[in-house]
Formats: sequence, structure tokens, C-alpha cells
Amino acid sequence: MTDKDQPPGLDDLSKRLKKARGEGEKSGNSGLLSSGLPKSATGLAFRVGVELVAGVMVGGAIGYGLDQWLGTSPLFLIVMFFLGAGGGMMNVWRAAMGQGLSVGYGEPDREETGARGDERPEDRKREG
Amino acid sequence: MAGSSAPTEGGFPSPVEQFHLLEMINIDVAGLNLSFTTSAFYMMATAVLVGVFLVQSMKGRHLVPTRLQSMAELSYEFVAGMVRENVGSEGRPYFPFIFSLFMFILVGNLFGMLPFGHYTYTFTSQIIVTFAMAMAVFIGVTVIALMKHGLHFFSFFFPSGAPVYMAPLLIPIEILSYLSRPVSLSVRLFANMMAGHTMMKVFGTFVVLLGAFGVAPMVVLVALTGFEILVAVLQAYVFTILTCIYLNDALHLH
Repeated sequence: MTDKDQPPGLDDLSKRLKKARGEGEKSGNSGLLSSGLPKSATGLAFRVGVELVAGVMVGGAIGYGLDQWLGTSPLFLIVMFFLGAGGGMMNVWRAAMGQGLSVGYGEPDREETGARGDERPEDRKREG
Repeated sequence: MAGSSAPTEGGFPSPVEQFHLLEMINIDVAGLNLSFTTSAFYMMATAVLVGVFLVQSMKGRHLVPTRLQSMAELSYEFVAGMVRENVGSEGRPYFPFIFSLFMFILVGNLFGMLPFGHYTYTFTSQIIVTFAMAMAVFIGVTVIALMKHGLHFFSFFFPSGAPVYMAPLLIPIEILSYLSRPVSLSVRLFANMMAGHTMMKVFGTFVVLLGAFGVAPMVVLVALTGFEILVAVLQAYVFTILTCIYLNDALHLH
């Protein structure tokens, strides 16, 4: 064991450390509902409810703002309200499927196969 | 939160009176009411308490930690673990911010449990406070994502597997669902704190109103107090972990 051998040894160690940590990270993060957040039904209901309301609120507010600005009342209010509701529902769906509250995760045809939520954690690899 | 005058109902203080801001020092700058309120006081008290607690407890740096040092190390380890698990090693530079955020919300929530009547104020029950914190997180995370990924960040708004003709519908929805993050983050904390504290005051009024039968709501109130402390800790945790999740999204775009 000369000094020369040590750097590769350390490199190896750091590689193994990284691997071990990487595994920990992966298993530790598979979305809002499985990321260590408490899973009580009330808590879930509240989280999901807030998510829905927030989507509608933001959509409505942006629509109202656009209408005020462009004088197109009530066109944007209506459009953005529904889009906001859609966004809120998307967030709820994502939370329920264990994908966290992230936007647009790039899994292929997420929209179509999304009903099977049990395969999500494996799909969600860190390295995209 | 409440109006300018403390409302009362039938001689009993309204349960929302606790959200009435008291102006401790009146400051008026060019027509702007910049008074030092109870909310500001508790925010400062929180910052001071957290600072003093962490500095004092870590002064000794014993190998076998004292009780205080243990507390400080536990909170540090707790948040560090949260960041490690949810963001990974790239999240390490942001640990100080997340730790400060956690301690600030946690101690602020717990300050709201102090039984000082009018003088207790839960600043996290004020939507503007939680919204400001959520906006700071949101803007910070967006800037981090833009700096790290450049324009690729905008591909975030279109799920890569979706058919292209869905874009006109999907992109606005995704953008809105992204923009609703700070709202849901802030409303979650604010609504939990406000609802819980209102509930406690309502049951507190029942105890007084029912006289001898007040024992029943009293029992509920004892349980509620414990529950509120749980909620105070839990909501600080939820806010922090969601910050971690958002940060993770920003750092590891698909």
C-alpha cells in the first residue's frame, strides 16, 4: 500500500458511497405520498383538497387579470378557470399516483398508462 | 387577518379575534402603515430564539452531546436527512436555506401555542406570511431550474410522451399546475394553522359557556391542544418536504 494506491481506493470508496446513496435517494423519493409524508386519510384529503382549490384559484386569478388587461371579460376568466381546474386535478392525480407534485414528468405516455400507479416508483429514475 | 375592531359575540370573544393584529409600535411612513405588529414581533422572536438556541447549544461541541446540543443535532440531522433523501447530494448547497425555513416555521407554529391571550400570534396563520415564504421558494426553485437547465426547463411543461396535438391543451394546464404550487404550499400551512387555532378557541368558548358541563369540551380541548402541537410540527415538516420535492424537480428535470 503505497501512497499511489490510495487515490484509486478513495475513488472506489466514493463510487460505492455514491451508489449506496443513490439507491437511498431513489427509494426515498417516489412522490408526495411515499416520500415520508404522513399518509393519514385526513392529511391526504386535505392535501388533495388544497391542491384542487389552488389550481382553480390560480387559474381564475390569471384569467381575471388577463381580462382586466385585455378587456376581454369574461373570456379568459372562463377559459383559465377550467384550465386551472384541470391543472389542479392533474396535481391531485399526480399526488395520488405517487409522482409528487411535479409538473410534466417525462415518462412516456404517462397520460395513457397512468391508471397503473404501482409501477411508478420504478419508472421514476433519477437519471432522466 | 381579522378586521380592525375585535368582534365579540354575546359577550364572548370571537374565535377569530386571535387573528387580530395588535400594533405594538405605531410607525407611519408617508401614509403607509408600517407598524410593528405582534406578527412582526413573533417573527423576530422566532429568528432570535432559533439563532440563540443553535449557537448556544453548539457552543460546547461535546463529543457526547448535552441535552441542548442533542436537540440541535437532532433537528440538523432531521432536515439533512430530508434533503438527502428527497433532493440527493445536489441539494446540499441549499441545505442552509431549507434548514432555516424549517426552524422558522416550526418555532413560529409552536409560538402560536403559547397561552398569552391577545399577545399570542401565530404568524403562520397569516396568508401573506406563508405566501411570501412559498413565493420565495417558488421563485428560487424556478431560478435554480433555469440556471441549471437553461431553456430546456420549458420542456418541463410538456410531458414527453404525450401526442403533439395535445400541446395546446396540455401546456397551459401544466403551466397553471406549476403556478399553483406556491398557492397550494402557502394555503396548506395557513389553512391548517388557522383552522386548528379557530377550533381551539371555539371549544374554549364552549367550556366557559356550558358551566359545569364544560368538562366535556374541556376534555376535547385537551386532546385538541395536543393535536395542534402535532399539526404545528407536521405542517412545518410538510412545508419543508414540499420545498425539497420542488427543489428536486428543479435540479433533476426529466
